[in-house]
Amino acid sequence: MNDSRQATVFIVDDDDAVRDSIAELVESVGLPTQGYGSALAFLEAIAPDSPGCLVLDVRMAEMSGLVLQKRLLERQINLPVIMLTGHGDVPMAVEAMKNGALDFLQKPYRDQELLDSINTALLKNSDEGDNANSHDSFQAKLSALTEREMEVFELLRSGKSSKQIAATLAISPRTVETHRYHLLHKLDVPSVKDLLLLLATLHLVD
Amino acid sequence: MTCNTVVIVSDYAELREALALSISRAGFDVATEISPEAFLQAVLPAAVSCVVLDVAEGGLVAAHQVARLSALCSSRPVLVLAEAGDVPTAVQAMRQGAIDVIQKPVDDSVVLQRIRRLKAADPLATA
Repeated sequence: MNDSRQATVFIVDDDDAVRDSIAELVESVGLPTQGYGSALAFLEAIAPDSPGCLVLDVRMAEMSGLVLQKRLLERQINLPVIMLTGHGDVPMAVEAMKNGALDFLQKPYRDQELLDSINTALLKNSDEGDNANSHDSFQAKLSALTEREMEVFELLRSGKSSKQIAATLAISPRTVETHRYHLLHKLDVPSVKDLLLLLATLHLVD
Repeated sequence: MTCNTVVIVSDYAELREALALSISRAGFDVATEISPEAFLQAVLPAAVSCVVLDVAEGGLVAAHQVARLSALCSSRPVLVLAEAGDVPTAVQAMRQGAIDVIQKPVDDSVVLQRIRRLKAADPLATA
């Protein structure tokens, strides 16, 4: 159980009682946990490639959950994040989701809700771990692109906008959109941003 | 072709009409539908700039509704209007790919500002 590759549920909450109760819940289903009383303590302790997921309170003194989430993104720590909040704060939920949070649960949530969310997060995390190594499977998908899609892909990869791509290839932006749509579909990524992230993970960025 | 049409989907006539009025006054073409289902059967408006989807109180966004609306409108962004404090709806909408969630009661100028910002950031809009 002390294998460093074991997926761990990291819990960051400045309320000791909340942290303990989440830890107890998660451990009751046999998952190891690590608790931190502040975002900074967690940032200091976390290794970039730690497998698992992060259960994070939005409102904390010192550094909020949203700021911690951004720091993790900056450091390219791709732990799936589940945010917890005590308030029905829609803008906060939207921001967390925009920053890639997997879920945003409002207290009081049901235990099962949190466990379901954690399970989804761990699955996602282990999938990503696999994908990160599957250079070959990406290359296979890439070979399914048409010549035109490949051209659009190369330009997207170099950070060009649809409009710039349209100008470069002398086609209409709408056509670029169509190619983009098909190539994202073939490469199995939801957006260009995800594509660039994936390329970065595979070290395929120029 | 300029993508200048804002599609408003809401089953609340008052909101739909008020929003349609302010958005068209701001120089956009507006198409309205009372429900996503109605939208699926309607003749799709051309040149969609974005979709504004109103989600009724307590009414969670049905599975893939946002994604489907967006797909129907050549992957245009979908802006969701949700009840104030309705975090589950907001989270679900974002998960389905909504570009943003605005809380009701909506301030027309806030929605308009968001639509304009989307358009400004959109390479197709000025093509």
